[in-house]
Amino acid sequence: MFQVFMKLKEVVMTNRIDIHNHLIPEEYVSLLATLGIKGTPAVDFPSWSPKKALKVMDRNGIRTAILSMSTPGTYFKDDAFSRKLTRVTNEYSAELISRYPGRFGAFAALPLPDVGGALAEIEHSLDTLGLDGVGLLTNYQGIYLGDPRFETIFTELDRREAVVFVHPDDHLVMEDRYAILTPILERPLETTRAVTNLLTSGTLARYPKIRFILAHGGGAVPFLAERIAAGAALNGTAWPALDRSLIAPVDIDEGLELLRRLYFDTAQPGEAHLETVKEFAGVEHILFGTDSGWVTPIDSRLTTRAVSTFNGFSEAQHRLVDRDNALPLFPRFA
Amino acid sequence: MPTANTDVHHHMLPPVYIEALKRSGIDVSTVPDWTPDSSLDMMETMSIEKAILSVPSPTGCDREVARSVNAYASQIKASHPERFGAFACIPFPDVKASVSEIAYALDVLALDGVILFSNVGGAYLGDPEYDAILAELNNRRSMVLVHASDRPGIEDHDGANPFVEYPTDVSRAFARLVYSHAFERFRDIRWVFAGAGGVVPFLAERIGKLHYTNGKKLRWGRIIIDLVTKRNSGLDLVKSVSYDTADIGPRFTLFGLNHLVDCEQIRFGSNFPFSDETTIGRLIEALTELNATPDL
Repeated sequence: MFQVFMKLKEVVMTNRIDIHNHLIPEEYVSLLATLGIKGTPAVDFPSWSPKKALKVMDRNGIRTAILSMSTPGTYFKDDAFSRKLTRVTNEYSAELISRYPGRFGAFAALPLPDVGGALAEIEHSLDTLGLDGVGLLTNYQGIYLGDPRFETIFTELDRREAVVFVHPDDHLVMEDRYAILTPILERPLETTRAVTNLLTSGTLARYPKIRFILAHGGGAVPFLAERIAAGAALNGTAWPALDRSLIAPVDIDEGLELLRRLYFDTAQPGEAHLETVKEFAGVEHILFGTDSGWVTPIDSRLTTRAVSTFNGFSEAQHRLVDRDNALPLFPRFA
Repeated sequence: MPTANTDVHHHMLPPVYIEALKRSGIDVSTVPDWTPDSSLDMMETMSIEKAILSVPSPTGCDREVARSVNAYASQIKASHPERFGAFACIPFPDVKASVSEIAYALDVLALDGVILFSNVGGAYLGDPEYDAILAELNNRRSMVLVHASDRPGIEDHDGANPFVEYPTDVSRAFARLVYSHAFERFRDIRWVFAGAGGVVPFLAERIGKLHYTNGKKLRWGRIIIDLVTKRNSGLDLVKSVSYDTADIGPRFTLFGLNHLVDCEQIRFGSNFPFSDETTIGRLIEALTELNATPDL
């Protein structure tokens, strides 16, 4: 019976591009095991293989998945270990891309907050390995993306007009009592927090050539956009005690425009959610994404189904979201 | 100017509350000046018939302060019965004192409901140890305004707390209420969540999923019933309560909220005196376009 409902009114696609799809390389897991790390503080690493990933992709009409690393990321122990862990991960992504032509792309992981290591990894992964962009987590050991310490990273990404996928890390204030609220609520809030920080720090205004894609439909950015933009505009005057070098005042309309230039994925679908993203950023800025790899195959299926049965998109708009919007960002899949 | 009948999110700052803030070490120089007349002036300008007054934070609201605030509110109500109502303040998370203040404020003073804060010092609404408070409100079919509050331990690294952390704390309380099944157990409470529930409408399906879990276990019975009846009872819970408009974006937030719930469940809230008249005016215009200016 479940299967019958699943097939109802679904827009059938076979060439989706899934821009939110996680890999968990075997070598990454075994390197972390040497430190006694078995996953995030909340859950162990799920078992992952390219075969399993391809199976989920085939079931959901996904031709190409752009792989990325989720939390807990690739920074552990010290700079040397983290550079190695990151390099191994990115090399593995490159290997998958060539082993399964057309099926995978990848966002490079970076060993932040080690800025020197990250700059070297940007060069290696984009120039030598030919990866498709960079995957950033919302904060690195409590340092948010708009922090002046990361300025050179964004200068470099802007120079390269890079595609940058922003994915939540776990905030330092974790849900200790109700672990389940961390993925449900705190992760989307974490993306909202990081994007707010990119706006208030002036990063979005200073680096207009970076194409940012936000996980989970931007957390709650489209819904809170007016409040975030108003707050950012107020910031220069309302909180004089803050370090002013962090704050780049923008007016509300400018702030809203900067936020509307971002791309939002579908990996958190809901009716009011998709309607709001569409109203806020326009269909052209919505990209299909499932969060596969860490979520179960059933969740990947439900996400695909929620997007494909969403009646707020016309048939032509479904094609844009499923594939065509992603092509200018990932031209080698055109 | 369009009319907004009742303003459910309208703050009073009585002298006894200001004194309590001072005792708690708060710098009150940034707190706006407020008198009942300043509210009446604003209501006159904005054509608002009635304001339901409440304090803006739980800071310093112990048993004595709550009692004095409620007595003050009751006096204002008595002198302007057509223009003011009031939500009682209770000394949450002190369960015993809260229960007796609910009885006094609602039964004796006849206030219009209770304001509860998303968390008080890390104690969250929806945590099961406060069930007795919700049961007391449920027995009286009380209206409850759930208001944002600062979450302890979140550092304000870029001044964003007032516009990201503060509103979203309402969502944390909301999620706990779904998770503890409080909406189902206390179904006579008339809930209003401030500021569109923070991010609740945007994350509605996600938060609704909590309805299918019970501690570490999945509630398979509920899941199977939903599959067979093709319903989403988690989402239905999220859609069953009311939301106010305090400090929300008149374009995108209201748009998303209105995609989740009907106009009757959108309550006008001004956040006076913390929001200025331009902001409130813009909100009223947007609501008028939606035809969402219902009464209590």
